[in-house]
Amino acid sequence: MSKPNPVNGLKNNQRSQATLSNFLFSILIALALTLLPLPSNIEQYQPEWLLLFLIFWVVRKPETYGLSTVWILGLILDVIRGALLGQHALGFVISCYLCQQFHQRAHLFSMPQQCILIPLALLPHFILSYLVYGLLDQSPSSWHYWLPIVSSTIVWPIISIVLGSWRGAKTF
Amino acid sequence: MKSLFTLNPSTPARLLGLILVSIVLMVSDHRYQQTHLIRSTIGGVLYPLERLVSTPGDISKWLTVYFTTRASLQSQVESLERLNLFQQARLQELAQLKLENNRLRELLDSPLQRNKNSVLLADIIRVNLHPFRKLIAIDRGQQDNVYEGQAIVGAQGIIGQVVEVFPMHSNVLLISDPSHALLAENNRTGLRALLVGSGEADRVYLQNISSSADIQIGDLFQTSGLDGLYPRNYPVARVLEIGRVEGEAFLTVTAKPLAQLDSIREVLLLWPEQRIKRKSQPIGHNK
Repeated sequence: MSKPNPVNGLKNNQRSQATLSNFLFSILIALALTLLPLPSNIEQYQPEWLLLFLIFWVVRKPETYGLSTVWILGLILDVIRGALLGQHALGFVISCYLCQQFHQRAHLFSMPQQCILIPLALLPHFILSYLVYGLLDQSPSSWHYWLPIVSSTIVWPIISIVLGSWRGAKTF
Repeated sequence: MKSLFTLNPSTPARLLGLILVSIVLMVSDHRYQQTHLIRSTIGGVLYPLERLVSTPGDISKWLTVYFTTRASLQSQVESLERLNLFQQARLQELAQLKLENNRLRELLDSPLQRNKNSVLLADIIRVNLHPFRKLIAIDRGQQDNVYEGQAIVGAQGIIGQVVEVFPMHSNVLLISDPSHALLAENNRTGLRALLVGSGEADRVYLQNISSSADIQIGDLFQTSGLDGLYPRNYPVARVLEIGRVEGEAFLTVTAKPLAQLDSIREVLLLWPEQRIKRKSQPIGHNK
């Protein structure tokens, strides 16, 4: 810490390490929330935790967490859900790509605006998943399939604020 | 450090690539089920997390059991007691059957019981000494007066013979070894045949049985005592398959050794005094 030159690099390094551990920890929480055993009548309204967390990180640190990360985590969700491998991964990648396009403007959006945009960002994922289920002759019978979009929108401000306040950083 | 405001230029291309990979993966998963490895790997990694997350649920389940009402416990005990009574009754039947079985065994005069005094228990210390031969090592050797050619039996039947004796241990050739042969006889008809190993633990071949011979599936072959190696009347194998080929003089008969040759743990060593004594008995006496 005595020499001036390496200090800067060390700080940067430390910061990126801290962000990485933050990222991994938040993903772990998202997976835990997804895996959490719930009564089946509540389970179908569960927010798409993993996708929301990923959207947060992709918009916050687009240069670090790219589409490959999103894709791999989508694959993990496929295994958890017992879905076709690639089904969630595909939807995740497209949803996150759309969000990534807005990452520079995201700072300007207020929370109510974000809450309008989040369902729009989630919609491609749910539509694609619906189509894949349809191709497999397993299309969801009731409109309850779309309810996670609503619940996801409701929990979005909480996720955004909690993850954003981590280490005192501003939201988005 | 990268600039904050430049998007990775490869992003649209990467998006396209990932979409394609996803589609390929979905198709291969659906059509060919070739993704078992990916699934089992990810599932295995996630297993600890899954267990951790389900812990609260497990605890609450445990608490529900712990605080179950007295009434429900009582009714449960009652139903279990009823079940217990029912099963006790069935167990008595079993005990009776066991007694009857023992009596019948005595009537049959099982050879294992008759030779009680002339046997020595041996533990198997190694199996598969040789990749192609059926050899095992037992923990009895010269110091226990083990000799080459000595017969080894198990609880169900003949296992093999000693081929090599060392001071503290000896090697045993199993009857399933292709180089092993003994003269067996059908205990229903008295028909004699050469019993030769196949190399597999669960089958042996019976040779030199003519096509017109009286033999059926399920026939029991026992030692004949005529080969000078094995004492008489020990069960060896049961006929499994009879192959008749038109124009052939002999049948191809496959039999299953009674001893579980691939899962034995203890064996009995037999000494020959009994055999010599029995030789002097009148023929037809030891039925």
